[in-house]
Amino acid sequence: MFDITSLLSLNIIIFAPAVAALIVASPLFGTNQIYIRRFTKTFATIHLLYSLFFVAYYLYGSDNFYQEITILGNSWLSKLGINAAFGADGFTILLCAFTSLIFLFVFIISKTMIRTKHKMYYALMLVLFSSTLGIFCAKDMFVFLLFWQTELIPIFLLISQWGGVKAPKAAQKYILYNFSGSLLLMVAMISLYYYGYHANGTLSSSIDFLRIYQADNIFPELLQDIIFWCLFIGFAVKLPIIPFHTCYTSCLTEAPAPVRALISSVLINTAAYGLIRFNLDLFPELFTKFAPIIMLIAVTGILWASFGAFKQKEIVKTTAYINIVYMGFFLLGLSAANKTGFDGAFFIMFANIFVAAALSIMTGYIEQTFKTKSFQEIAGLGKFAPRLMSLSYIIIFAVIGVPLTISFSGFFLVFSGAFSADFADALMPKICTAVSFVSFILLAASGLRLLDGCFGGISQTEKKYNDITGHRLMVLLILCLFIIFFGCFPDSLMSFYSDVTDMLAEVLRV
Amino acid sequence: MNLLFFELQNVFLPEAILLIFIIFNIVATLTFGKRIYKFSSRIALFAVLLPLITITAGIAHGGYTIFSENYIQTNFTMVMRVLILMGTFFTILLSQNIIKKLRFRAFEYYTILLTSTFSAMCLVGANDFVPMFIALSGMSISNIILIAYWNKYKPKEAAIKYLISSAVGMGFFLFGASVMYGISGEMNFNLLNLHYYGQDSSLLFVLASMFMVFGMMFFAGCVPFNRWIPDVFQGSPYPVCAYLSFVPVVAGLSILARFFGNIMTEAPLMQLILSVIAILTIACGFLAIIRQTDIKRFLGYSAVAQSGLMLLGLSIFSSYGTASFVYFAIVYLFINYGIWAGGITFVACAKSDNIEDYKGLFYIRPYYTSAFVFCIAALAGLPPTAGFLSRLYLYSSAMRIDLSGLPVLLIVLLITVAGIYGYFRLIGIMFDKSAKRELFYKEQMNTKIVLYFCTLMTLVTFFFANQIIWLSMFAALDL
Repeated sequence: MFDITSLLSLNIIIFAPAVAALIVASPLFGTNQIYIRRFTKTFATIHLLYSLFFVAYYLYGSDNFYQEITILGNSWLSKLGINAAFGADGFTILLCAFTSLIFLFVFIISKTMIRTKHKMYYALMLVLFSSTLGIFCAKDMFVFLLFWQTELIPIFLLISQWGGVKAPKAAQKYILYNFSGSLLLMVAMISLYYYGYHANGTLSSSIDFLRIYQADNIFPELLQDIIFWCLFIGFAVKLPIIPFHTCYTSCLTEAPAPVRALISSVLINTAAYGLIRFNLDLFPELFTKFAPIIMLIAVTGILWASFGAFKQKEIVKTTAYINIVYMGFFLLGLSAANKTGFDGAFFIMFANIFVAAALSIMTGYIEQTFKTKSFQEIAGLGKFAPRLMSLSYIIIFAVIGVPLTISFSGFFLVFSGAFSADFADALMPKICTAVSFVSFILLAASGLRLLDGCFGGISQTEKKYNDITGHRLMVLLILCLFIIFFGCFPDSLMSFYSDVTDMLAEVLRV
Repeated sequence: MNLLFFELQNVFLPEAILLIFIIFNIVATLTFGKRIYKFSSRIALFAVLLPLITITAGIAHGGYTIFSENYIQTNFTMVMRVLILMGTFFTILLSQNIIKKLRFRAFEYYTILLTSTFSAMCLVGANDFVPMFIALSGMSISNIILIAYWNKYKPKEAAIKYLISSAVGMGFFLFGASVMYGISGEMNFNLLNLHYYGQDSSLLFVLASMFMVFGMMFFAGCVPFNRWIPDVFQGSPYPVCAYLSFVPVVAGLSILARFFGNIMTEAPLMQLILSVIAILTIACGFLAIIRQTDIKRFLGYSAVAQSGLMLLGLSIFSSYGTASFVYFAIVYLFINYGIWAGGITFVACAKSDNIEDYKGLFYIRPYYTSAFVFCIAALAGLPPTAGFLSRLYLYSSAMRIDLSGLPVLLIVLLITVAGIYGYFRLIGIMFDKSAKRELFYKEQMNTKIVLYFCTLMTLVTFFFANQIIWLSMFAALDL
């Protein structure tokens, strides 16, 4: 009998963008920008539909996907004990589908925001697409690392080629930070790999395999701690967590709006995903041991970044700090180490995808029309752009967590999870939650300041500006619809990953 | 006589073929060379291809010794000799531009190049200190002539520098070898192995082998003896640089691998010294490339860093380490020649060795630059190239024995960040959008072929890594 699952291949979903990148980059394709744009948009639409089939199949059969990479009939790199395979559960599938969606939106808005070197731009974007999906689906540490490092050169070129004046420097800084982070990941992964080999006699870097022998607790304690913190810092650089955030804010200010939308929504989610898959899933005991420290880091980060968001003079920097606050809340929910906290953290992750993308597109439009980044020169936009203003209200309300928007459920769950965290020092989670409440007010203030600074006040220029129209309006509208839909029906999102959070909470409790 | 011929055929056939062609080239230089100089490149390519075929087709089998155990053929030497021959093959392809200027002196050039290759192959297979010394002298003398040969460049000073450093290096080697002979009374590796079996920790022995190692360090360009590399590279034409940064390095490190694998199987002190030298070499190379303005010096220092990484593989003293060294060398062959082919192309384009003149090259030659950037990414160890896997294999081999590899790994990775900065600087300059230039130059077919082929091979060695790692393990288990 014909099996429908044979059509759903993770290899296709991950490597198809890379093949598309090769097609776009090949000399046969020509340099006509219209064809290039149409090709990439059509490709992204087909990719989105294909990934929706995965989502539908998961909903119908609630089955996980698993597929090996084989070359010449053998598993790729089995000689090094690398289990080159992709796997996906509900959480991963949903992330992949949303990644596909955001990439489609980014391709659509690139039409007006990218005006030169289309061939290279779309080829690099497609490579980035492929590697992001690879990170989400990797079932092996080294495959994960491979896709993680593949992102470096495309991001470097995307920021430095289409960014602002200081973009090359910012790109270099971002790459150096990220590369150093990935080297820490490499150290941790290689130590895990060989310690497993010495303890078990089996050479394997598969995550599932590591999880099994990790449970036996065979590592010396100090080494475990070192590996844990290497992984944590490696992911923290990209997340970004406070001491490492300068590369993120500077690169976000300089990057072109579509790339900014990608970095702030999808790419920082790869770091969050890594934190969940490695630090939490592989080291549950250590995670509970270090949870208070992580909570302190998260709360400091939230406080610092919300102050930062409040005092910025440029709209883009404000949005960058808002992203950092979101990731701080993600970490706060994770550090609560209970089911509610995990649910909240995962929800914040998904909320960040939509909110950050919408914020980037909004600020990108304002930046493009006004040719400036500072609040003062923008004031009074509401007079010219009522449509943009009404959509921005929805976005900013989502940022500050007003009920019936996507972030509300996330914030609520994070706060309740963190408040009920079961630490040795019973008072500490309470205080931390209270402090993060205070910074939540700052976040709300900076969000409203963003809104007021852009749309309120009286315009100082005589010039007339156009309202948002066409494809950008459509993209923002759809993002706002997603924000409201998931705000009204949070269960529809949570049903995908409740298995994962259940399992994680179960592991922690034992 | 018959038996000797059989053995020659089995073991020494590739070298013998090369020798015949060297003699042919000498005769051609002296007599009829003027008439057929246009075919010199093809003859030289043929001279390299024929031994390549004889080795790869399995006419020459492993596990034979000739010249009363002075010369050996194992799986390891077979793989390494193939690499050396391929390196020379690419060098000849890249030499097209030089040959046009040399005209009927081309046969001289190929005589020297092939002699150097012959000596490198003999060095890899040497099983005794005497043939090893002969091969070393042959290689260093022919390299000196190769460097000093050119009028247009500033080669004389570089050649003197190479001469003095190589004399010092060989002096070290001779001293070490003679001490080793003094304490054991043997020169053959097999007999030395019998003599030293189980008493590796003798301090005198470690000291003697340290001197011997220093001799090899010179050819590999490792830290105490790396000063010649940037100057010599600056004073030599590109194909010679490409040759010097691969063939002598691999030959020198291979004989070290065989020495460690056969005689010094366990020596903690030696391991420590080697790792320190490797770390210093990597640091020297990667820290120096940050501020280089000359592309040849840049690539020279990056070659220093790469040979340091290869030495790190040897410093592990296990078959895993040697296997990672072999895989690294296989990958580095393609990366190295891809990089130098890209360099030749861009110098033809920018008419200058200065990196700053490379600004905006992407917008003139997008596909060349993409291939070049791909090779640079491989050199920096970024995926999706085989450079990433070779690093991964090397680093993970460094951890294989025990956790003592962890600090070494941490230091090496820390230094690698500096290297990444340097490589990204080069990439950033080539993609610089501020420069607008229009340059025209005549495309060289051979250079193009080498660049694209090497770029393709970095991908092939990535995707078929399983098979190539199998090959390196096969080589490393039979040193």
